[in-house]
Amino acid sequence: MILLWGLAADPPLASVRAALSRIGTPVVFLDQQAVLRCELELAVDGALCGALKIPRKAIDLASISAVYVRPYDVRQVQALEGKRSGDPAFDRALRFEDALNCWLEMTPALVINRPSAMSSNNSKPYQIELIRAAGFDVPDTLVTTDASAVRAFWEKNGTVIYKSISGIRSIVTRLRAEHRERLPDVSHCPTQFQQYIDGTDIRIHVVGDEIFGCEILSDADDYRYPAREGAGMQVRSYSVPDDLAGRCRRLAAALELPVTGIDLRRTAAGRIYCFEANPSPGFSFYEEATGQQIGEAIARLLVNAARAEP
Amino acid sequence: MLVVVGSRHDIGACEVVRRWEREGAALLSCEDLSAPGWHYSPPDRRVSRAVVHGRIVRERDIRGVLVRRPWLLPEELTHIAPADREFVAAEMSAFLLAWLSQSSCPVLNRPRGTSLCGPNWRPQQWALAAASVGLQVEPTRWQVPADAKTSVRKTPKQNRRLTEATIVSTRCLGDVNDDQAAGAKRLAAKAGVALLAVWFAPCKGGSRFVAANPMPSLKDPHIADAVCEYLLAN
Repeated sequence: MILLWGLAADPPLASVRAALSRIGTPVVFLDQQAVLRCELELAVDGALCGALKIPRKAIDLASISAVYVRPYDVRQVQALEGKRSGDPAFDRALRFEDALNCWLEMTPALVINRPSAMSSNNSKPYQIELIRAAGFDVPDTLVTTDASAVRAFWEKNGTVIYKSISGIRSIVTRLRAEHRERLPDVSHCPTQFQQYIDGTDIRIHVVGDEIFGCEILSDADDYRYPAREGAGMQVRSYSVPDDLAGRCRRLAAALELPVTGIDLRRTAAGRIYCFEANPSPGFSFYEEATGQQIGEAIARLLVNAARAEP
Repeated sequence: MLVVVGSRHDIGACEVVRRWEREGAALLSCEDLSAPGWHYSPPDRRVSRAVVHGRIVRERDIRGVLVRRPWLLPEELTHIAPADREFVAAEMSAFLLAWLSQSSCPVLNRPRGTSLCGPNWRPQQWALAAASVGLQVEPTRWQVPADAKTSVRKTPKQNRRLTEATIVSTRCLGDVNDDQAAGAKRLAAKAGVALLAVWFAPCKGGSRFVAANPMPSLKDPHIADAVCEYLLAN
């Protein structure tokens, strides 16, 4: 049995769900909107066992052989609208998700991806050292509370960007002259600066052993927000060289991520830098732009895990 | 110097700093992360600098780090504007995670997952890990929503006589037998930590694993001294 967890309207989840439906595989959909109508029981007595109840269905957790995990912040889902910490429904929802995450860490099922494996992306400077260790070039990075260190780093690298350290989404922004007088503000909180790498953005999705490459043509510092800089953006398929594909597979394995979206940039000289590995990639954006069947590949990975079950 | 990463409101962390005064121990608090002087640019750690108890120190002068917090909370950041506290707490936690993970000196315990001090496993994960290394395990159950008969996420000490083993690298401290000491060491190895408290309850024919904590109390001077010796010796 395959378990899908998230919101029905989430495009990546919908893509995987539709692909599984085409294959004809039995699927349990755990809808985050129904969090207050779900129950979970876990027990450890030498071995792990448990049961999940969703509206109109009870599932022995031992029957789950593969899971695709795409939850949103449960505090933001409609079912909890207007509820705050201390409200019994709110607290129940948090406890349910905590227990479910606990099971995801312990189950022998294939989990795409386990919460503990996803956590490397919650500290960008931590993850970038893992990326370097996997054999990729990475941009020079400085985390500091010292304005003079920023100035020296800026001078050394010519062009510099800044972005968040944590998993909180931020817009990658180029450091410009108008930021100079605000540099002393970095003393309030460690801030991350990186050497700007000029070149073409590449997104590579690793799905098990399968590789899907995209090239993004944009003049924006952060191609996810081209309108912000009045820039255009075009996505097209990219044929990934074998050596690069191998490094991406090794990185995904090192990060224990069966599925990941790796962000790279190729310079005019052909040198490839890696920025980060996204543990819950919104692949549907690239799938729609290129026709690549990434959702199908994830579905196959889930089905193969289910078939491999003794 | 030795660094204790913790809150200035954490009495236990402050006591450890006082006990290790002769080793130049100092507290690294959240206020230090809002002070100019931090410089972290891996992989070159020669130029790395930290701010500890208001003082800028070269990273190479730090001989060891004891971590006494799993993360930073927005509520602690009273010196930061309320609207920014959640973001700043996440940024500071993420930075400390990288800094502690990659520090070249001994760190007890290094971060794992989202926790700054070893794995932030839930009781069921500890129980399953304990069972996997051959320990008899007290059954645990977690039900959401909880029924009237179920106590959710029991704490280890519930008016029972428990035995506590504290692992500090290869040493086991506490009034435990050889089997318990060996089991606690196997569990610490499984969890990938060098500092771990493990509780056992008596049962027919021996004892059963009850709970574990990668951030044990250091009130016992023998444990505090063992931790200090480990940090200085490595």
